[in-house]
Amino acid sequence: MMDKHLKANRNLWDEWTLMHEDSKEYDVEGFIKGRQTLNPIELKELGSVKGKDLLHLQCHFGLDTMSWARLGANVTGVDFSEKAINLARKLSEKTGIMAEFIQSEIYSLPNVLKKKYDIIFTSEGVLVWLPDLTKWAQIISRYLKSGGKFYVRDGHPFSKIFDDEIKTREFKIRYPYFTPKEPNHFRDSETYTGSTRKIEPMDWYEWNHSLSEILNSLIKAGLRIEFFHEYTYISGKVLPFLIQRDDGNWALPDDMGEMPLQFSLMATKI
Amino acid sequence: MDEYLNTNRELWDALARTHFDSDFYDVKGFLDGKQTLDPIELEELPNLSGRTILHLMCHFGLDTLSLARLGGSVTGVDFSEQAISLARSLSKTAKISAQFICSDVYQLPEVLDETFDIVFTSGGVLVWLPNLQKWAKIINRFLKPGGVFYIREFHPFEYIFNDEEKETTLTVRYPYFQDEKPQMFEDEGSYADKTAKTAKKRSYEWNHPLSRIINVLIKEGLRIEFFHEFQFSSYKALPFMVENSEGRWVLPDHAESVPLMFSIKATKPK
Repeated sequence: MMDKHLKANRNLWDEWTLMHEDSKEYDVEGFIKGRQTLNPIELKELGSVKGKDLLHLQCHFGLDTMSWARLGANVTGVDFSEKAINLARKLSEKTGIMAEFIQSEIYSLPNVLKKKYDIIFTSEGVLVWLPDLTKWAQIISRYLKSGGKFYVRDGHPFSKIFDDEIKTREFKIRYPYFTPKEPNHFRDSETYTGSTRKIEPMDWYEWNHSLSEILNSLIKAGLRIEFFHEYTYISGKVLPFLIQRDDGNWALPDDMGEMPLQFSLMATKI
Repeated sequence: MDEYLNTNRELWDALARTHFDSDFYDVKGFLDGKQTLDPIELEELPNLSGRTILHLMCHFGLDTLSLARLGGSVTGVDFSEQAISLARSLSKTAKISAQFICSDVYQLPEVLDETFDIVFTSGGVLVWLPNLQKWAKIINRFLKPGGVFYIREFHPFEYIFNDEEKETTLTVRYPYFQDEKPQMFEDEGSYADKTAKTAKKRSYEWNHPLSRIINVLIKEGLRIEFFHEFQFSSYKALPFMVENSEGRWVLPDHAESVPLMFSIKATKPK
């Protein structure tokens, strides 16, 4: 049985897929022509993936998944949105990039996938959609070969406590840092990209997870933390007063100092 | 020794006596048998009975001697001569056997040649260290294979907020990412006794981001066993904090929004 939060989120991502498909942020045309969609941080930190079996969790419609394939990985992408997976398969056919795409909620993945992987990858805007990190980490451990690597790059939990709709240039605390019993509820008719599609407002739910919860869930599932990095910039405008830098990333204006806005983490299955 | 270190040592020499006489440190209570270790440490530390323990930055030794009361064979290290001589006299008065060494953490290999089962440090230590990689090297140097490093510390994210007396709410003021250049403070009194008649003393402090704290330990070959974060502090770190029924200090309006302390356990591989 799927609970109300998950159902709402899945409906949202089905709708967002259609909105993202024709957005200039996702630039599907550019991708088809060969554009690399992966973030420079993960390209550098994950290193060569040539010949590696790579599982991409929460892959949306597969641009990053297929970008890893272009770099030589044998990829499997998983997402809970049927529309996203359909689009991913369509793009894979169109570009001729070999990739397996599976529609599944992460927690039920063992029902449909038996393989093990050298690398598990997940990135940017993924953890807030997960109600339970303990189970998530167990799934990661389940799908990693011994010595295999898990890599995540995501928004920094510290930056997620601040009011993201504030009109002034200040940090105002609005959201919990420690995982609350009930998720944060949002309702909007817009997504994080521009879109030509107009929709009615939709509900969705997000769970903030503390850094300690993220690290400990992986450690408890039998992974060893290899590094944990924090960055003063991120690819999206996650707070209204961020300023876009020359390289396209967003950071605080100079007079507001520095705040960790994203993190990356690598862990190895022992 | 550089200017920063000299200045900080002068401060701690002055604070040693003030703290020894303060209600906050309650030396009389300690002599009557009171346990000074934080409840978190008591819960998270391994069994101390028969273990050799190195306590880095031990101030005048209350916690060191408390570790000894729990069965540890203890060595306390501090860079303040005043603190170490008070620690030695306490050890005599309390009839608790302990070794105390006056040394800056970084110089310790010049005066100490043992290795230990446990290296312990806690409660306001990292801000006094200009270089964490060297600190981690020292920890590794003094741990036996299979030995445990444990730290309970104030959270670097809490340190970014303005702690001036006039403040009534969380306002971001200090850097989270601090490089080699420290933050300069000039204060009267002490966190332990706000009314103490001390001359205005200068200090230099470094706020180290979490990623640095975790990565320096990993780079020295230690394995992170857990990383915990807490919603309360052991003292009134910000002026608008209130004391709860357990004697812990919390943020009245944002109890779940800011991590105030953390602890890490890491082991040296056998």
